[in-house]
Amino acid sequence: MAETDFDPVAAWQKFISDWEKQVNDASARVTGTEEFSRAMNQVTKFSMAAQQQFDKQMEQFLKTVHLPSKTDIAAINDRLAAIEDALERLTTAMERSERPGGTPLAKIQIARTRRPPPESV
Amino acid sequence: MNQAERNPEEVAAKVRTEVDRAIQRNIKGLEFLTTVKQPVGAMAKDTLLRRGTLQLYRYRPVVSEVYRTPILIVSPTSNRGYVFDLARGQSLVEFLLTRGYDVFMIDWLAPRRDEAHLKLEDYLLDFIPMCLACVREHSGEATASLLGYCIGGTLSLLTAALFPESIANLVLFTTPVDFRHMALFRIWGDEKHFDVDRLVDAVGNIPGEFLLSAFDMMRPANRTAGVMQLWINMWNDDYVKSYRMFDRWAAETLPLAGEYFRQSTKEFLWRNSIIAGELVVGGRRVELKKVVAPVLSVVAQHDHVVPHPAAHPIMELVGSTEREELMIKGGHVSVVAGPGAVTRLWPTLDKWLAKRSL
Repeated sequence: MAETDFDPVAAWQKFISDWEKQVNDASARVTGTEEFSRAMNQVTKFSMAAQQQFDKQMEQFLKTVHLPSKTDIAAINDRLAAIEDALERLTTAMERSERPGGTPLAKIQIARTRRPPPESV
Repeated sequence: MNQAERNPEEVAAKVRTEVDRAIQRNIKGLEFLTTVKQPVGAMAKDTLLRRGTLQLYRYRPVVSEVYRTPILIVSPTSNRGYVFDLARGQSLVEFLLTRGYDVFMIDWLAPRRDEAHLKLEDYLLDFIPMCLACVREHSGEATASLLGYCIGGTLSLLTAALFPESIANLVLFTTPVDFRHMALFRIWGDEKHFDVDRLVDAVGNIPGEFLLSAFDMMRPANRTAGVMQLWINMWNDDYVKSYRMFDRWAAETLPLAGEYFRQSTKEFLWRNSIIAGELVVGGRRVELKKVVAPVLSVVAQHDHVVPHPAAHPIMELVGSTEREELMIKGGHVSVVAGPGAVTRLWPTLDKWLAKRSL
């Protein structure tokens, strides 16, 4: 009787692929409905409201105990990022002014004359 | 071959291989759990612009003579651009550099809180034109080839319609234009149930986790199956490295600027305004027939995010006389850097671009 070589690893990989497809297909049938969309968005709405309420209370608590809140840290982060941006712009401007005629260095160095190999044309 | 006739030496060799791999899985599995993030980015580059969420790189050429027309890659606003430059041999940027192109890339960073006001107008009338001007300045060339991926492709297409005089060629990877065919996103984001105003007003920028969970929910088994496949292939260093790079890329899904998300949801998902020809950006109507540059649109055969019908209308709507659609085997991400991309897409792209970059 002719038979193919049994490879347990290949069989396991095929099982995973089949399982993945089945679960994804089944999930798409459930999540691709209006009912699911309505329920999911309701849950998102409630969890967002709960999160906002929690954040508000936590902010109040941290203020009471004289500790910086997430908002304070984020504000400092924004200021640092703005300073970094400004530094970056200054560095770029300085680099340019140091070059002859203020032209970008790379423009001078590269020959832009390349042609495709004959078979590509 | 009959079971009984199998060569005992072959069977023994197979058993030895599997035992060896099982040992390797355990050793490398421990390494996997204890290693920090997989490094990404193969090619040397300089940052030319940095402004909040926007970064523009120029990759250092690796040949002495390049094609006249530079390439500007526009990465998707939801993901980091290093998917184009993961590692040697798995980097579209490396491929393009070695084939003689001058490569620039727009890589988006997470928008700051004070950038929650950014809108489509900022991306289409400010950021991308500013980068095109920078590319002009650094290359000395009046036009550039735009190469966009996913929503970065949509932005590239819209840019080509708004500024046709600046674009030499347009290459689009899995680019959605007809959002009716992005079925799950359309249902989940249906205006009857999804209160985008309330969400944006509450959170400002849309967290990356929110977007990642939406992508995960489209294919909920992928992550588990991926981990199971990883375990089987744990003995294979290349497989593990590739898995970790893509896993890092997915995990680093970026937040989106709140107003940009609000506007995109309403214009693209609700009104499908690109197809309808009703998208107005900064008082200018975007008409795809104004795109006149040659267009190459690449779609993935098994793309669950941007299926073929969502991208195909590009072929009918642009005004370009040269337009080509290329179907590649693979999914939404592997089309950029997967095996199909390396063996088929990249050489085809080179052939298509080379003669149009003189």
